[in-house]
Amino acid sequence: MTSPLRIRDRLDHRFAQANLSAYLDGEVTGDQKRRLERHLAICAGCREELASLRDTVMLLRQAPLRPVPRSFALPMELQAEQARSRRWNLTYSYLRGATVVATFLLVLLVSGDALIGMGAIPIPDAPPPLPGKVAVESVPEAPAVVEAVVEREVAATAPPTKVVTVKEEAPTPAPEEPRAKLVQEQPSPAALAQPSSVAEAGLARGGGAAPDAAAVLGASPSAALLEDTGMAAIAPSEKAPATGPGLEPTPVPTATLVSPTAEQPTAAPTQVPVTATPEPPTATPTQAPVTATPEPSPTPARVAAIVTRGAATEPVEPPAARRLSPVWAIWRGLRLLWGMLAGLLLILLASTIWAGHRRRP
Amino acid sequence: MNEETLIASARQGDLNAFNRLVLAYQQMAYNLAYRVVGNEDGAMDATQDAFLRGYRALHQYRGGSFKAWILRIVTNCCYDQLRARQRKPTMSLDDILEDDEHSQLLQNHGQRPEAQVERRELGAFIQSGIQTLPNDQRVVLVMRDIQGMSYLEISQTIMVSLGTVKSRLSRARAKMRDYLLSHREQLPDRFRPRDS
Repeated sequence: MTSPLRIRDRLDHRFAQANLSAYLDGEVTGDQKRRLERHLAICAGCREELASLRDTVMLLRQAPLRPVPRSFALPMELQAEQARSRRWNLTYSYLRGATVVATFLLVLLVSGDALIGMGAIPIPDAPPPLPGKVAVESVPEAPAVVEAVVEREVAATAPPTKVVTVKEEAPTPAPEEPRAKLVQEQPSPAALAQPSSVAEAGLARGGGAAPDAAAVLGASPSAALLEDTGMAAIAPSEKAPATGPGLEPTPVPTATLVSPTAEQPTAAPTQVPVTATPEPPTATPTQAPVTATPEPSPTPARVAAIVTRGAATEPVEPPAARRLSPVWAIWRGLRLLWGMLAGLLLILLASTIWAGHRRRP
Repeated sequence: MNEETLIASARQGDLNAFNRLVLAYQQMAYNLAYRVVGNEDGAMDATQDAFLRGYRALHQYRGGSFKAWILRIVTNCCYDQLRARQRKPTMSLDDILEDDEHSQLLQNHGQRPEAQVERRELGAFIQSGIQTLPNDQRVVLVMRDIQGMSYLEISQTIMVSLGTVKSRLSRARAKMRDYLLSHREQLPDRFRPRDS
């Protein structure tokens, strides 16, 4: 049976074996030193171990110190090199910081844009609708009529070179508008044979707005929103108004080219100049061939443009109502900033990599 | 000019100030490198590389013991040398030791020839024993028993705890003692350790 005293001696022996080196250097605490010395007093093996360690240390301390074979002082050319390197280091640090900031801002913008796009961030409603638009939206049967018109017009515009006709717009009754005048002067037989409900609705209201514009607006609420928020593209007829009666009808069919699903208000319409192509006699019996006629694509921008044009005939239209909603304006600005930041980030990344290579010779 | 002033000037790019620090520490740095790497050429390369790195990285020095900071760089350069030598061994250790100790003998013109031979043998014997140690124990043993650094300085230099320094040193000394006892016939009489 092992007595408690023997167990303590064994523990002290293990402790001494592990700490004799530190004891030799005086790197033990007072308690550890007393414990070691108590054990050394009774353990001959540890005393011999301590003596051999002391001899080893003494021998190592007698190892000759080697003289330095040469001076290790650095050449003075290094000073200029270090100054250059320091400048590059500074440039690299600034570029790296700017890159980090640009990346952070870009991520912030992209994520915010994505959240707005997904509807996670609500956008306030558009400004109050125009008086003309309110009257138009009350026409219930307009969407169906316009959709039918659109389908027919889209089918007709399928060939790349097409003569633009005004047959669908013939019933336009607004006497003040030159477009309507032309239609009245050159009525299409088909249009005369089929007076659309669009015209009826417009005439029934007796409003100043063109009935086709009203019907289109009623048919496409998104177009109305686009018009309100200023996202609608400007129709070519607004940018370059017709200068002669021969060219005047050309923008008219743009009102009929409506795609209910189109959502790109800023998409530029593809304009194919038409140069005196033969046209089917049934389609344009009275229409003269048109030179350099823009052929718009059926987008909501067209719709919005017509609506805007129609609304322009209103006697009173406050310009402020057509301004952008502030949030939409900010959003559009952020989109612009988005692209600029992406470009800037690319430049910064390239510069940072370049400076990183240059900073160490 | 004291050390802090020299360090401050060197941090501003003054190479003369840094070279004065180099002259103050090159003996210690070179001997540490020599004992760790084990040959003169490697030690010279490691020492020069360490001072060059130190000058370039002086802006990263955050105060404290400059000696510990520069010896840490020396230690890292020694490890780089050892790794490079492991990849491309060119000379045997015996050749290196003979060449180095011979060149050292030629430099000590002031001593008696017997004393020179005795010290050369002792230096070679200690160096061969040190080379048997693992790198981490070797560095601690050289810093403590040859360079005379304190435990605290060693822990600051190699960035380990005091307990780790104690345990590494204890194991290194025990191995060195065993090596000396097993090869004591190669030692001069007055240096032979006693049997335990």
